[in-house]
Amino acid sequence: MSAVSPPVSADVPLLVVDDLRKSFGAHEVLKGVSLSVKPSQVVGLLGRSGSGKSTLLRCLNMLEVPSAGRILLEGEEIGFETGAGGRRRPLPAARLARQRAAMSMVFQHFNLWPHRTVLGNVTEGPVQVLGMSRDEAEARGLDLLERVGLKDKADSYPIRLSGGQQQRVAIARALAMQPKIMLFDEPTSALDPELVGEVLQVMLDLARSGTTMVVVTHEMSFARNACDEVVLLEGGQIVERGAPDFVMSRSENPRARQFFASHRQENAGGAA
Amino acid sequence: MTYEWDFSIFNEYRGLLLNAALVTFQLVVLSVGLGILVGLVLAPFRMAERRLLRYPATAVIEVVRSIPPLVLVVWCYYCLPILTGLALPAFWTCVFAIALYSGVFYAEIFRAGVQAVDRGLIEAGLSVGMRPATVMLRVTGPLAFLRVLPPFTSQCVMAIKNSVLGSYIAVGEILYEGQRLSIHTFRPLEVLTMVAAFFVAVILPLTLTAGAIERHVFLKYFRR
Repeated sequence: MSAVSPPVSADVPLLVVDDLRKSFGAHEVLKGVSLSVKPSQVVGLLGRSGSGKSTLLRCLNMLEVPSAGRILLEGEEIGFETGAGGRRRPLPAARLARQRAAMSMVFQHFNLWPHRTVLGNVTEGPVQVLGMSRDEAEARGLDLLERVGLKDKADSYPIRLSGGQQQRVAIARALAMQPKIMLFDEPTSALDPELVGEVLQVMLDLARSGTTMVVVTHEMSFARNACDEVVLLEGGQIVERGAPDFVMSRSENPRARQFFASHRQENAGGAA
Repeated sequence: MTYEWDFSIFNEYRGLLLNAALVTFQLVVLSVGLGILVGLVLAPFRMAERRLLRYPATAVIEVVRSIPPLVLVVWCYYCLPILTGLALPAFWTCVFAIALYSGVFYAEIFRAGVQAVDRGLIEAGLSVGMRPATVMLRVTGPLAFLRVLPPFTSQCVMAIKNSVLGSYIAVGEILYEGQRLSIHTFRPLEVLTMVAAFFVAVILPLTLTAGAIERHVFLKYFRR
């Protein structure tokens, strides 16, 4: 495989973000962000807290409604439609829901439903949204739980699980929707350090199996090892992007150099 | 104490008392059931983002909540027919007045429950493609209800006890028939003790069961 001429089919972007803006009141959090994600690509969004990376991710599936700009998934605009008169208006709830199902999200705080078992959390979406039969959803749910190493916890309630286990269940829940793209919002930031590894391993396996992923993370080793592209945000704008090795080590961009230098210092301090 | 208790009157008038207990039972079931329904209808309006929906619901809740329940029952019985020409039998007046009165409290309890549900759990529902209505039915609603079980139980107890207000408008429930009996037999101590014991016997099993359910729910879903 040559790095100069990748396969043509993988060149057609799955997700396109075009000049996205988001303001909370007078405060503009995203100041025109453009991005494209190809099938099976893993894109890491990096940046300091407040840089807008989580807001960007939450705009992708309309948990935050963008103030301007467009998001296209396989060419279909997310969250808005253009009427006959050329006027743009928000999609009806049912159609937005259908679009969201194609972009499952994994949250920082897991957000498992406490009143459903582990298996119930995984089958809820397929049964309620996809209309799958319960038997089929459970069979597939058990397969997914096996994939994240938690088949034996299927009948437990989330509260009985460690943070790392809960996040793996949340990943299985997101996978159960057979999404076109997986969104991860700082999936390891709320975990005890010793539990981070098990979640990153599951994500690494997903990345290697060809899952398209957009990952907001502070885990530099994950960004380096699993991402095809990393994007550095600062003040609501993209300041650098490219292959992990380029952005994290070789970029001449002073803000990129500064960001990754401070992270290396942190790591060195942690190891000392 | 020299008072000689004589509970034999209850045996003598057991038909009348059983009938009165049955009326109380009907009053309780109907007013609690309707009250919960009123709460379920009012709460979404009270939480609506549109003022046009929220303000009327808020007004109903605040006005009804500030009227003493006895005043509300008597007002509905005497004033409402004069003002509207709508005259209901005393029993149904009592059912609707108590249902409305407890309904506004149920509405506030349900609202508190829904607002206490972690936003992240709702977003998790939306992100697997649930419609807002499905999220309410499958996530927000059940979790809100589990969270408000204790105040919900308290409100049910209040509503059950409020059924005695029917005695003021001559609904033949347990207090009304009891008072008639005490006048007739000159045995108010026995009768009022019996009425009090009746409510303890009805309510205590309910609250004990609710308490057991609460503990079970808490241990199963929420406690580490």
